Parts: sequence; C-alpha cells; structure tokens
Amino acid sequence: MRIPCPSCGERGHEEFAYLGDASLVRPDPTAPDAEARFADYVYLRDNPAGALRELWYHAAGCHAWLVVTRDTRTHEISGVEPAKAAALRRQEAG
Amino acid sequence: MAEIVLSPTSAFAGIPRGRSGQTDGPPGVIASERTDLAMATIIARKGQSAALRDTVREIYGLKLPIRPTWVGNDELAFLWSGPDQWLALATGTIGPLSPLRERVGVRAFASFEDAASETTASKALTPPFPTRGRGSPAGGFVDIETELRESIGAFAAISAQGDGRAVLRLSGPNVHDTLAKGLPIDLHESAFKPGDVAITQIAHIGVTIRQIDSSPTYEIILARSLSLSFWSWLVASSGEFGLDFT
Ligand SMILES: [Zn+2]
Repeated sequence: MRIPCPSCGERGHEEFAYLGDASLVRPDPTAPDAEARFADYVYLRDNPAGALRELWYHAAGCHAWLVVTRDTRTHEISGVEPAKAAALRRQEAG
Repeated sequence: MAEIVLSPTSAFAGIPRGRSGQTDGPPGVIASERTDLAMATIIARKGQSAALRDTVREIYGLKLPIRPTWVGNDELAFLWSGPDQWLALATGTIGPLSPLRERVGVRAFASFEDAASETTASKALTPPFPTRGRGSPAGGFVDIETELRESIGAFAAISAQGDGRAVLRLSGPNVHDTLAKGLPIDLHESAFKPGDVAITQIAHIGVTIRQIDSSPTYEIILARSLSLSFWSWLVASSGEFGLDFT
C-alpha cells in the first residue's frame, strides 16, 4: 500500500505509523456520563467494510499527521489531507 | 583528578580514507564527509509562518521553500524539512557571532523587538529567548543558532543541530545504482532534480537527501549516532562498483 502524502508525495506505508479512526473526539471529562463516554472513546470501534477516515503519521518523512480516507476492503485511498487542516475545519464548525 | 579534554570529532573520523569494494578501474561511487557545516532547525511559531518567510526573504534574500526543495548556496542554505519546518546549513569559520547578514549584503535587525516591529505580524512573540548556542561540533564555525535567533527568533524556534547530524556527499557513475538498494524514492532526473529534497529512510535509517547538481551529486544528512550503521550499508551496497572515500 502506498500513501500519497500531501507534502512528500507517494510513499510506502512502511514510512507511516497508524493510529486509527480519525472521527473520534475526546469526551468532556466533567460530563456526568464521562466514564461511559471514555470507555466508548478508548475501547469501542466501528469496523466498517468500506471507506474509513483514519489517522496516519508520516514518521519517516515530514512528521505530519494525515487524515487518510481508505477503503478497508481494497486499501484504495480516495483522499488524504493534513490532520491540522481537518482539525481547524472542525474547530471552525464548532 | 586528571583534566578531561573533549575535542570535536567528525562523525566519520574513524573511517579510513581510500578505496573499498571492487578495486579495478575508476570508483563507481565517491563519498566525502562535510565537516564544514553548521546546522540548525527552524520551526515556525504558531501563526507566524508567513511573517517568518517574509523576514527570511528580507534579511537573507532567500525564499523558504514550502515544497521539498532547498534554496541558497554553499554559504547559507535552507532545506524544507516538513510543513513549517526547515534545516539551515551554513559554512564559514568566522567566530561565534557571525556577521553573516553583512556578508550576504543585507541589513541586520538589531534585536527581536526591531524584527517584530518592522514586519506586519502583530502577534509576534517577544523575548526573552536564550541567545547563545553552538552551531557546530568543532567550535569556531559560524554560530548559526545565535544568528538565526537574532534574525528570525521572533517567528520561529531555532535549535542547533551541528552536534547531532552527519553529512555525506555522494557522487560517481554508480551513485544511483547504489542508492537504489536502500532509498525508496525515485532519483531519475524526471522525478528528482538539483534543488530537490526528500525526507525518507535508507536501510531503516532516517535521512534527508538533497540533490546538489546534475552530475549527479547528492548530500545525505542523518543522525550522527547512526553514521557507522549507514556507512556499513554504503560499503556493502557500493562494493560491486567500488567506493572511494576522499
Ligand atoms: Zn510526508
């Protein structure tokens, strides 16, 4: 599998470290149901057959975190963007 | 107690110079160590990337690259090193406080405050920052860390790297054949040109490679603690062509 890094160009997956689902948002630790939410956040994952937005770190390249949209059935990559851009967008959206 | 004297030693100082591998005919690969470089990383402070690039252009007349390329010359070069990050390479033996800016013919800022107030950036951070540091292991080199802290420290974090990195220059008719055994990127002239930079790995060793000229000549920059591992890979990989370490 090769990942097109927006900064470095296409590189082999061995240059990257995998984190997982990019949609997770850390729960509010002061919420009344924080314990249940944290259990979900830390342990429970969907296992979709199809497109998944996930975090990869270009450890042996530009050292940027990326959000990669990958089809879990075929490894086909349909989109890559810097995680910083995705985070800023989420921040602006509130 | 005996006085301990620590003298600077280059990363490849213990490697004998001369020919290794195949000894017939001219060498396929020629390697030399750059021991004349002072180095520092530049990381833009939050929201200061544009102000940093403007200031570098104003002071040094160089555009910090936003793609994997390098700019400059033997005296001062900036290598792209990731988003909003660069590696500065400088040569010279002009003492701890360098008149580098004067030598490149542009005006110097007297202080962080001047630098910050003379640009359009309103949120520039202000001192104090530490203003002394060593740019290279050998001392007496241009102090690139202090130089950059004074010129652009308001917009970027500067860290000296000269003690921590080793640099090898590689050329010769079989330099591509040799690098292809470990480097996972394409060095064909249609894909990688003089002025290009890549951060990747060779034999699991993290490297920055930059192309110097079209002969072609490359420089490999790596952590000096891994320099002998890298050397072992280079000797094995260039053996069939013959390696000359000058
Ligand atoms: Zn990258």
